[in-house]
Amino acid sequence: MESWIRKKFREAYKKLHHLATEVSKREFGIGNLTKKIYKRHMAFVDEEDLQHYLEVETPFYISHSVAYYKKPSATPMEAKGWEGADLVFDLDAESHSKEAINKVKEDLINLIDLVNDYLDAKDTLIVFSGNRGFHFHIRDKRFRKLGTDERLKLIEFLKGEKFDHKKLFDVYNRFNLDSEVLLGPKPSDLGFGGLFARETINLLNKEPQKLHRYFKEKENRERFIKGIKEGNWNRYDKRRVKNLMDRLDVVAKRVHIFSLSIDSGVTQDITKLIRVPGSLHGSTGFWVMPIKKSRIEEFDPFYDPVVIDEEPVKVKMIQSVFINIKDFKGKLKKEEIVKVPSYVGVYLILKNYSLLLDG
Amino acid sequence: MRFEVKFPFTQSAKKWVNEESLINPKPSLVQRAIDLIIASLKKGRFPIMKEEGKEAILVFYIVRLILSYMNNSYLTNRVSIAYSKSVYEEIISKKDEFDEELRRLCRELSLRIEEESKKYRIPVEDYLTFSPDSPDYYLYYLEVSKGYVFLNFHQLKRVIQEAITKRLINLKHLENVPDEIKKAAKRIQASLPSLQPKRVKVKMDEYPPCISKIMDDLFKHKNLSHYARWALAVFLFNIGWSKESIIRLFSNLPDFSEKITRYQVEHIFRKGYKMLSCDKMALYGLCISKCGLKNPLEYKKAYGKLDKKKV
Repeated sequence: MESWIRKKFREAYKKLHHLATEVSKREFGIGNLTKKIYKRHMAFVDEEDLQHYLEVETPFYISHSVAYYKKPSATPMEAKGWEGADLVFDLDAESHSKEAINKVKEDLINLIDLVNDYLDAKDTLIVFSGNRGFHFHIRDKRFRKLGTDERLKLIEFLKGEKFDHKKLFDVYNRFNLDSEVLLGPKPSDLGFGGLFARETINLLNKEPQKLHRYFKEKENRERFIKGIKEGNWNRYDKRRVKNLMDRLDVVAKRVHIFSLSIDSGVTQDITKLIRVPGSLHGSTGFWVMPIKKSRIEEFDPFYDPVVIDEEPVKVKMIQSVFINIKDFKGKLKKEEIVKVPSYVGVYLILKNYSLLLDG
Repeated sequence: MRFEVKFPFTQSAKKWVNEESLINPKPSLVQRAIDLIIASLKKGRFPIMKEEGKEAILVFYIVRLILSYMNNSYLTNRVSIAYSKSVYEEIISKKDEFDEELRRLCRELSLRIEEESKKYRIPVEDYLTFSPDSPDYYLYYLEVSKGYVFLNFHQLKRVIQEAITKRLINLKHLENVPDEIKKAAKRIQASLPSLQPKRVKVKMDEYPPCISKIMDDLFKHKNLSHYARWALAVFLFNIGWSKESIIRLFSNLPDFSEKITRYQVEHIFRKGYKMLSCDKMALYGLCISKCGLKNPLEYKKAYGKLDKKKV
């Protein structure tokens, strides 16, 4: 069974090329069917050396370090000579279903936009993880030297979870409502402040009652908005609108990013081994394929990354399961013996849904 | 005062120091270095030397030599933080413009700052490295765009302070030092028991991995983030530690102030805060293990008697 899957992987690798870069500086780890990484501290001379290994030795899983080392195969870790690491984001769905993966796509697109707008990162790569999520690799040299703490600060920012809108306002009089001026963000400001001001104005124009019914009157609303545009958030009647700061929570919730599916642990770990882009995933047989940002929405995780051929194969089902992969759709029952395309066969066996009868 | 005297940790100051005078340091200078270290430990401030000439720089180098030889992270961190606080209070915070001296200081600290109509532009990656660990300095409250963070002058000054702290905390261990330095180290060592944090006995394997990690960092005298401090104090309160024990534990922090710690710990006791859930811990980047629990307090019950490696 194992040798049949390896043969299928090998045939696929002959048609694909991995997308690993700076191979000679990275540590590699490989996995078999029982352990995703059973051997690590491996190194390759260059991109071709790695490609040759994939086509000849064909591991079921292969990962490389996000880190660049002087001596990637040295042990213990301290002896490798860490020189920097890619910034990597791992976004995982809750399950391996199309619906769950689609939910993650929105987070992924948000994340890419933030990274473009705020970090201006170059040399990036988005891949399907091969199972139930996406990896976003930033290989830009500017970020390689960041340590664990710095990466954590960055991810906190991108997730937006500790965001407290009150801190956008002048600390000395944000609670002093008698003051003539309450300095706050202007719509033209860069970053979260500008976003917050723009979103407030947007809400006032569309659904003013969500902030307070006082703003339903055009004159009140316009006076307040005019103030915000100048960075003064105090142009309203304080006797009628109480606790403006608390009321602005509703805006804060709208600018929150909440990319909850980002796994902070992966981004923080500067020696992490991550699936090699362009390799095959040993839990599905799917390709860890590159995706352009503009194609994320239409990406089909059960069609696009299927690279194993369709030659029919006979398997015996261990459990009942509904399968919808590429052109194959149907319910397969426990104990049933069925003929399926190789890409389904590989998937079923790797997921422990069936046994191979003949190859 | 000359740049080198004000900022003796810079490369230009280093060029001023004659290595000969460090091999055989004058006893009077060594004594001054000892006094400065002890003053930093006691008060959390490093009295800035206000004299012209090389002696002040030499004294600073002797302080650093003693610290490298002693290789005690509590000492190094406490003195470094005391030093950067004092430089900030006495020199940097008093500046009202980004003058040539600050520009030069930034270059020395590898802080790339560009002035742009009263704002100061700094590459995001530099900002992440040197931003103060306070919620006010989170990126959302600043203007961020196209790879740059924009700071006002006050914020810039705090970032410079942080860069100085980072520079000073990085100190290599040196074993080969002049005898004078070794003697000075011995004298400081002798007065340490009254100055160092008190020992607190902790059975580490009874604590969940997230809390052990924070404690571990604390025992290494790392400067913990606000959230890590909060989580640790609330956890210990919830498992029944006394106020005094918690405060004693926190005395391991390099920027420990009994007054502030006591105030915050008492606040937790008064309000009776519940332990943060595992989700919250993850949110704050404090979760480091997949224990499969909902709250770190469940750990002892779930894993208490198991081999730690199985987690």
